Amino acid sequence: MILSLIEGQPRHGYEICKLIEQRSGGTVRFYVASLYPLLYRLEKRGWIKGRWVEKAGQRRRRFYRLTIEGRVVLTAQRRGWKAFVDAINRITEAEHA
Amino acid sequence: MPEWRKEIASRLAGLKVDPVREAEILEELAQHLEDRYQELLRGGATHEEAYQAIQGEWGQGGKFMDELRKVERMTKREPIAWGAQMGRNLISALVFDLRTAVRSLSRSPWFAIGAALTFALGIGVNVAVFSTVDRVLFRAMPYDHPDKIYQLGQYEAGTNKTYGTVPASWVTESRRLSSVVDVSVAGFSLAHSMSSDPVDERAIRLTEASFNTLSVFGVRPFLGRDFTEEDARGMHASVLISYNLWRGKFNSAPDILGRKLWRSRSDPVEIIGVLPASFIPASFSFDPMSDGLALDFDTLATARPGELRYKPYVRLKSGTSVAAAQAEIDVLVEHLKQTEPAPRPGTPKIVARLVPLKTTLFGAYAPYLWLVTAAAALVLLVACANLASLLLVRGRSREHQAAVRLALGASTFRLMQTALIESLVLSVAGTFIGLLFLAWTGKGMQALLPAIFSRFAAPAYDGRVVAFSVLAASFSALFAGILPCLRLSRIDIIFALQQLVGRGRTGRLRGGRSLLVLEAAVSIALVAGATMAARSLIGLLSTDLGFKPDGLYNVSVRLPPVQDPQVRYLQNLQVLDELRRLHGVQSAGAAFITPVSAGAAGDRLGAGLKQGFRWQITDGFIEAMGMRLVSGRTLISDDLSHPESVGILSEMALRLVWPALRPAEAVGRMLEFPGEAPRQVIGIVSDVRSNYATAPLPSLYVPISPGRFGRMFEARGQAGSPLSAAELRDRIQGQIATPLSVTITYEPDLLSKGLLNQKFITMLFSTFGIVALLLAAVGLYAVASLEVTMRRSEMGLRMSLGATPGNIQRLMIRETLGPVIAGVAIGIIGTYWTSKFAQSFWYKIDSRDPVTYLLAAVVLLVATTLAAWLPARRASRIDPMAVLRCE
Repeated sequence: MILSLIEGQPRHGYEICKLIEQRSGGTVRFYVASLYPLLYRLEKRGWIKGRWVEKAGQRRRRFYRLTIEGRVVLTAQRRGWKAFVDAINRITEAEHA
Repeated sequence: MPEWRKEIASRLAGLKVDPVREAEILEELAQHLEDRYQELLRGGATHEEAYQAIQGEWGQGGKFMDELRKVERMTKREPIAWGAQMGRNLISALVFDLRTAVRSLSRSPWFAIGAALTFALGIGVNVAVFSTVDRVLFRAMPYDHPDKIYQLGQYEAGTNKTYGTVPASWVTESRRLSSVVDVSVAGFSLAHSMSSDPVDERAIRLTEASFNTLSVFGVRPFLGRDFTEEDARGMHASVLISYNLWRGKFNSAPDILGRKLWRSRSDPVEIIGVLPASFIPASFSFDPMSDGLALDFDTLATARPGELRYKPYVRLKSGTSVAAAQAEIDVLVEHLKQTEPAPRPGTPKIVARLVPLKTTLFGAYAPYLWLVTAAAALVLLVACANLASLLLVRGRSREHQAAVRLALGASTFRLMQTALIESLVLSVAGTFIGLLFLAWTGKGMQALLPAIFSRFAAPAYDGRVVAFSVLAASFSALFAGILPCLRLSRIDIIFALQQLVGRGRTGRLRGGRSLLVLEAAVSIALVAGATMAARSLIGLLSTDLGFKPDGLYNVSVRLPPVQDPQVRYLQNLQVLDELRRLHGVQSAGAAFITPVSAGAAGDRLGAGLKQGFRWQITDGFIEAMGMRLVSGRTLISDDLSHPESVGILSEMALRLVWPALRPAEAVGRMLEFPGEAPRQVIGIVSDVRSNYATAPLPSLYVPISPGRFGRMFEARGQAGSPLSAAELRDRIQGQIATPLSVTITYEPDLLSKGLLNQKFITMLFSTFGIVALLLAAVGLYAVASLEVTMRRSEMGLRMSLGATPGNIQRLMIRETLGPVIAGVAIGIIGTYWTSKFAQSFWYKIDSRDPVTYLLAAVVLLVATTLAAWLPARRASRIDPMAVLRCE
């Protein structure tokens, strides 16, 4: 989930938190206590990379971007997720048919 | 507004993470909470509500801490910055250093290739030597409990001189001793020369062995069965062939058991088994080329009295000390001696002695092997010193880089680690190249070695050899890396950085000079060794053999078996006639055993002349050999008809028999031996050596007795035009009978085989010497080159003050050669002092002969002067104006 959110552009932690909440319509929520250990873990695994970025007139923020390794993992996970969802769909559709 | 940072900090306090990391986490989380707080306020919450909401979202802080702790304990994946603290993550630091070293070396490929190749030379020599000496010096023999196997020998009391072989009764009786499991005998490899089919002439050499040989050595046949006592008693002619013979000549035939070897066309012997691959055929005259064991049914089974032809091997019972067994054997031998007739007066006192198996097999070679090992270790030392000086030069030229890293906070320890790893990378690369070369050349290299080395050499990919190489490479890397490391620890950051910004490098290279002294000292020892070996070989080759090997051919003719000895005698005389008529033959003769082929195995001369040898020869033999007639005459064909009446003495034998007589006075005198009719001395001939290395043999030449006429002939022809075996075969076939085999060997070829050990030592030392010379020259060149670079401004200044290019060249060469000359002096003193230990390896030269040292010093100085001259020439071409402008 997090990997796909930063696939297009680097984002900071709070932004990621908000995006998850928005896109899930409030169903999935991350708070500080759960989000950051997760981000650090992904970073340790080498899937994402955090970097402090300073913009004019703003305080510096830590932006996370997807690494090449992360991109590979994301592709694999998407494929796995799609297969899973397809399987569920086929099962549930069969029940209704 | 709440103090988020303080709250988070209090929660992070127990986490014990790096302060920098902690500050980052603190800042990031505080920002997040701040954003969330502002968002809640914007949504209409009061300050109190927003604060409580966030506290709720934090939830149980304990969970957050647990998660964070887990994450922070994961291995770091971030690349490690140069100079960062590495304490917590040694492996990744090492990997990082390795990658850095490889990258940095690949940026100066010529340096890397040169350093790795020169090191490969040094380590390659060592690996090659190790692979050959390991089996002989360090590995256990491939037998069951080899420490329990001893050879029983007969020695002159109080000396190490062997006294022939042992009486058969010693063997049969000692088999019954309580400290002994069993006693076996194994003999000459040449005892049986067989072929794999009746008409094949390629001989298979077998060692004669008693039926219990394998059980005494604790070895089981790889295929088939062992000899049994019944085989011996029933005189069942059987052999156990070696693994190599089975694999090679018989193409690993599965039906090998039951096949035959042939002693002659009508004399088959059954193959009953194949020996294991690792089996070393222990025998009286240890012959690494033996193709297997042939059952000897005389010795143990029938126990005939008399002297054995072989020396017995004894297996002691486990738990029995050799001293106890020796004591038991001493008592037995004393007892046996009393049952025998008293020895002739003047016979030395004889004792039986148990000698460890390894000593009997390799004892004679061990000193050579140790010498070679020591020399190889010296080569490795030079290679290390060379690598160290190359690394030192490289370190010096990159001092500013080290200074920058130190200034950025790297510890000296980290810098040293990097330098050591660079040294390790180079030495491992060199070792790899060396191993690759050895594996590639494989058998080719081994063909150059004498059989004793090649037969037992382990291949380059053998586990022990690879392990040795890795160990040697690691130690070398440490040794070579120490000096550059010490240099790093003394680096002056400010000075080095100033140089980076300012005028370029100046100064001199200190550590490099001591390395040059070391390299030169060791190199001179090796070059002196090579010179000694070469002089020894030249000395050997110029030895007067007492006969003329050039143009001399050894002819062996095997005729089909004949029952009547008189017919055989006449046939052999006919063969001799045909040989004399052969195209290109000037003279020819025959002998029962020739001094050249058999060495010191002739008959003892008799009482009063115990040390001498008696050779049975035909007329023409002395002429064919090219021996010098000192006085009197040689044999004529008439002498053969009464072989008891005449004899010819060698000069040395004359001195033993009649010390006071001149050769001319001895001719015509009668020579008396107990139990023989008096023999008239008809001539005196020159002393003959059986090969270049042995002493001349005091000899008596007598006409051959009909029963002893064998198949050995000597013929003198032209050096360049070999005698034709085919022509001789045709002649014999036409006149006498179809011969089983006719072989003609050029004597100088046989003689040069005997020189193999000395040639090998010379070749080895020459290789060592050349490698050492090359390494010393490379090291010197590197140091001199750097010196030139570092002293550019000084040279520029000197030239602007009027020094000529010649002056500069001489100055540079003088200064670079200084340490070499010091090293040469130290090396010569050291070599001179230790040379007395090596004296026994050389023939006919004094290991302290100053000419050797002078030659070695000249060679080394010429090579190093050349290496120093190239950079010196570069120094003399410096443009003083350009240098001064830079200043």
